[in-house]
Amino acid sequence: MRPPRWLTWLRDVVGRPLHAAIHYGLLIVMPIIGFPIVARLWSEELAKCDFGEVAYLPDWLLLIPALVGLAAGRYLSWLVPPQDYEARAHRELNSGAKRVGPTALVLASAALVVIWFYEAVGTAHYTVVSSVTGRTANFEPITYYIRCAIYHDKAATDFGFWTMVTILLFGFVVGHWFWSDHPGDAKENDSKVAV
Amino acid sequence: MTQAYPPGSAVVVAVLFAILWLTAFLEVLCEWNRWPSLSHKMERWADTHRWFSGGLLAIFFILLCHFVLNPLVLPDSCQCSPKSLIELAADLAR
Repeated sequence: MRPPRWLTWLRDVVGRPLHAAIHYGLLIVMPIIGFPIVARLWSEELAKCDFGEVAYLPDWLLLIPALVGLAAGRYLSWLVPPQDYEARAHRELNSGAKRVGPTALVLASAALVVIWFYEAVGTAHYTVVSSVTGRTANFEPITYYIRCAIYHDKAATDFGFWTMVTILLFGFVVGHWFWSDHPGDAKENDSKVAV
Repeated sequence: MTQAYPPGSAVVVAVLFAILWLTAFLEVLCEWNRWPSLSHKMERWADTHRWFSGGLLAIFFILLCHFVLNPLVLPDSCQCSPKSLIELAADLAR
């Protein structure tokens, strides 16, 4: 599939600044979305996460923002001119640029270690006693806390607005990284075929 | 009655958003310095490793389905004797 002419025109006129704006914008959008969610969750009485007979999950509709995010992430690449995509790949890298990839890998690996360690503790359902308050608490798997957060969101917003936004964001990142579409321009491809 | 660890959901969501924010920060750093961005590196890797990237897409979808297509199961009241955090740490170290 190739980008339509109007999108190619849009890309050539505003593509670069729009692409940059999205990168800068996400840096601001993340805390704006994340802080209220975390603050609200922290203030709720989450201990039992018991909503009685109400069952907010399973919910097939929550897959829709994932699909929309995946598609948006995939076709966001149409905003980058094809020659820019190639030029960046062949640009001579300084030491700072060479460190970005390994830094990201180290951060991701460290995060995964913490996550899997906690998942082991949570799956074992350890019960602990606080030496400060004397209260007992169970550790639960991460899936429990995520579903609990979804329940709280759906209880507050009926259809789970913040859940959909979060799923959309993750779908967008995954689609942009692993399913990106980089078609050449129609003229370029036609001239190559002619030759 | 035992209860789930109270700040659990908040911490999990905070960690998820922290990961997203760090990723966005790395992207901005690359955009500012006109370096090939993290996205660019990932895209090129995915272009040359289609099966691998397809597998990662599948894992994302499977995890998402696992979260949203299963009901919330409340923790059972544990019959085991509660342990202090120090005993728990010693248990894990063994």
